[in-house]
Amino acid sequence: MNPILQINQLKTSFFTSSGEVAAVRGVSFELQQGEILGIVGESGCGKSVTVKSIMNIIKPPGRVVDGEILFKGENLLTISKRRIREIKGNDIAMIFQDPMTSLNPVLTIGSQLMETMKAHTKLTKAEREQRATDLLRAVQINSPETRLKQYPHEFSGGMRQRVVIAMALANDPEILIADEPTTALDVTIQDQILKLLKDLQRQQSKSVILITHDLGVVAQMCQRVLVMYGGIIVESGTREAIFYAPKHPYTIGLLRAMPKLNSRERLEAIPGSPPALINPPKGCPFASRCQSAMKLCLTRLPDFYADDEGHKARCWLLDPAVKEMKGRKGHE
Amino acid sequence: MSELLRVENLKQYFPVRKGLLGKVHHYVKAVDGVSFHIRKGEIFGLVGESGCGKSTTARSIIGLHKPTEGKIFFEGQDITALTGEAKRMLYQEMQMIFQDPYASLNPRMTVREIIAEPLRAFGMQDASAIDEAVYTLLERVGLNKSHATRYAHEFSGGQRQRIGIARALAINPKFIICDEPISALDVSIQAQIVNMLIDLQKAYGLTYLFIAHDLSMVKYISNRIGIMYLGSMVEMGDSDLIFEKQRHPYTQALLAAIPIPDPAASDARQTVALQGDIPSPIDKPSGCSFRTRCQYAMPICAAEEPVLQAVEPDYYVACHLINKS
Repeated sequence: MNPILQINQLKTSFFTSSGEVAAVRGVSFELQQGEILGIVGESGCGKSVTVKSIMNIIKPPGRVVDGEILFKGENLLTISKRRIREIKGNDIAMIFQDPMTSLNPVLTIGSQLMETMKAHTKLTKAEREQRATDLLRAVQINSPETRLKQYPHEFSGGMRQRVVIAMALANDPEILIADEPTTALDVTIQDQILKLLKDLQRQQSKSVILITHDLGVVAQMCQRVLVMYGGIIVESGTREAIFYAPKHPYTIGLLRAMPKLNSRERLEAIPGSPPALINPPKGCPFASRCQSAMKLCLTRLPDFYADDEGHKARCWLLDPAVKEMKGRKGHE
Repeated sequence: MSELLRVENLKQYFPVRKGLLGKVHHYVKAVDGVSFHIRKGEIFGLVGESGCGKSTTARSIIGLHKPTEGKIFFEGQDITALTGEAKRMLYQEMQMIFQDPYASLNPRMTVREIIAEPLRAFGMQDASAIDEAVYTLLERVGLNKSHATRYAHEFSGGQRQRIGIARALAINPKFIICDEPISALDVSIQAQIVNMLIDLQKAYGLTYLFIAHDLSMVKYISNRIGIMYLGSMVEMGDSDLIFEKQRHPYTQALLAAIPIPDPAASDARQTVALQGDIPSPIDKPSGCSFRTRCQYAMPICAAEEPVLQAVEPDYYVACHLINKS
């Protein structure tokens, strides 16, 4: 399969007055046609900065320092601004956590929907109106003709997020990037939006990158998962591999930290807190919280160890030499 | 177990004023006739989506709002009528931990000052005794002496929540209201704080009102749970039983909407998303508040508001479906 989007060694930093904050420190992954790829991780792990880098919306003092973002072979980091605008208008669209950041409070929903079409298509006014109505219907908004003439404040939080999704779909993009699209919503509304996104992916074979901190959302939505920690990907694999056979101690810790159904056993908390990325640790970013950490982990970051199914994790414990050494110690 | 807190038919309406003279236009019925009790030494979970009135209920209990109607009893005493010194003394028994550890700590105060404040307010004057108490409290919440001279912004979210907990514990309260204490924290930190809250509860025989929207965590921590919708209690009982029986249609919909962190279990579940939005508490539907989204709604649901009734000992549901049969 040919990936529709390929990220190679992406590095993004913020140059603050107290020094360089290396938010994304060499991230590589690919998005396959028609899949939902989940990125999970805690605040500050670099998941949002990664997709903002893809969308070319990193604001100073931040910038992409290195790497490649290949959309169908074109590197988004080197092409002209004009071409980027074309791609962002037609091929890749983003849905943000807070719908109000993407909606203009003083314009009607209809004019905002049609604005993107006007900029990127040659549709006539009547065609644009028809398409806007169809889009609202596609995101399950009732009486779309009336709704088009209303302002964002006349919509509830869940409805606004639907409108934002409709706007993202306006020019029929191939890739949808959703950054915590349901975090600000209540669970019953979250459920509606997630089901809508899944339908869109299935029926229109959109490729979706879904960022979330909720492992439940990942289990429900994604085919493949990237786990990020301290600005790097620490593990990636299919949903089943990540949930049923996690390899990285951080992923294992996250899954264990959640309460198990019908159990009152003490939660296995991960001690400590994530590292500051202003002075990123030399070795594995998780080493200071990892119960299996060795001396080596503090000084050197391992590369990925992959199995035949493409399940990869960046942990020294998976190194054949380390495994052998541990095995010998166990026998003594 | 004896009762520590009793809320009786609590109503909390907020007037919406309009026009030049500020005439009351209508009311936001944030809490509309809620009754429940919490026993000594138990953790009572209050669950519901935004606007259901769970936080308003908590704020009424701790005296931040004066109830429009209804009574709140603490250790048998009606506390809604308390004023002045008597009301102030009540806070020696009752404390609150807030959701946002960034907003609830004064950025200009050191950790020592933050924790010492309630101690001073309730009569501790001797500087060395205060220092000693602050250090003990810091250790109790997993911090240490060296943290006392620092400011809140120097700490991570989880550590700030620990400081907030130390402040709440300072004057040895009997009852602590935890208003979404883990919602703003990362998953790996949530377990740390929940474990600590449980340890403290056991060690000091505390009673908690635990408010959250993360149902799996509420189920884990609580002995009993109350589920609220649009200002009313719809179901209340033992937390394991609620998850098992799910008698109210809203409880069913709420539990069905929580994503399960297990791919196979998630795939096996065939649920239909609950339609529509939560109605506004300004313009509540007649009868049962949930009827506009309920797949079982009958004519009686619009005509009559269902009463919270015991369907078995210590298990209450407010639904015409159940109350009729």
